Amino acid sequence: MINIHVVTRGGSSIHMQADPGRSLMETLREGGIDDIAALCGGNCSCATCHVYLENSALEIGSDEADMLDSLLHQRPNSKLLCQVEVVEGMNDLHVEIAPEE
Amino acid sequence: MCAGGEPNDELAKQAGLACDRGILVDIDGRTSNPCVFAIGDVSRRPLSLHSDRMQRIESVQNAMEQAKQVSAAILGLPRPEPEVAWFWSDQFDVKLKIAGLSVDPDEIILRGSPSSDAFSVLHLRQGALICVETVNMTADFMASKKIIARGNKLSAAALLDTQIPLKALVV
Repeated sequence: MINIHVVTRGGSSIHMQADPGRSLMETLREGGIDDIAALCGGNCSCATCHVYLENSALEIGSDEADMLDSLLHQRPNSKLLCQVEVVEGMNDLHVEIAPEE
Repeated sequence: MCAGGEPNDELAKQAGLACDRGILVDIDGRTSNPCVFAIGDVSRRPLSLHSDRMQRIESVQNAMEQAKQVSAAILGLPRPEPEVAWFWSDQFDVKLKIAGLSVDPDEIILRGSPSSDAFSVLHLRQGALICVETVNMTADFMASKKIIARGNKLSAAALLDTQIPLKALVV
């Protein structure tokens, strides 16, 4: 079980646990976090799952990098949740949901 | 490839709503009965970015946009800004992303080379970008959505030059 701490756009703080085997986007959506619109269904095509990850060393793919580079609210620690697969043994994560584009 | 899909507007017709190969709605998603709204694949709606041409669009983005239109209408809120339609499809190693709709284009520009597996097809009308079909060119896709929304007129030379990222042409 991986612990996820989410801060929503409205500033609410939510703690949840993630099961390995699916993306962090699906985890948050199923956890009831509607800020994540996930319009493209997790296909790295819409950037509506844009978050800021604290203290994370997760890699960014080239398609994902192209998406993030086009965003007004991009920061160095930007990430697309649909590109984060939850795996056994990964570190706990602190996730701040980015403003809507 | 999929062919032969038809909108299921039989119930709407029985209910006396105006239909024409789909349920006819206005910019607020309202049908011919002011108390009834229809959105999504079954609805035929005006396209604000294309002189209000009536069109049925089968996509998640379209359904979501219409949901916002209807919500605003019901709540008496300002009408949302029109959105640029967009679509995606992954076919093996080809990532196809399309921004806009090719409605009456008068110029087509090929940006990049098809033999390189990464290129974009740009559709223009009266000098403005209206639709971009990108193949493994995510950056072009994202920039195109903004360029199309703004309706800027761009030079063909700049659009052809793959050394100039489309992002740089967003005004």
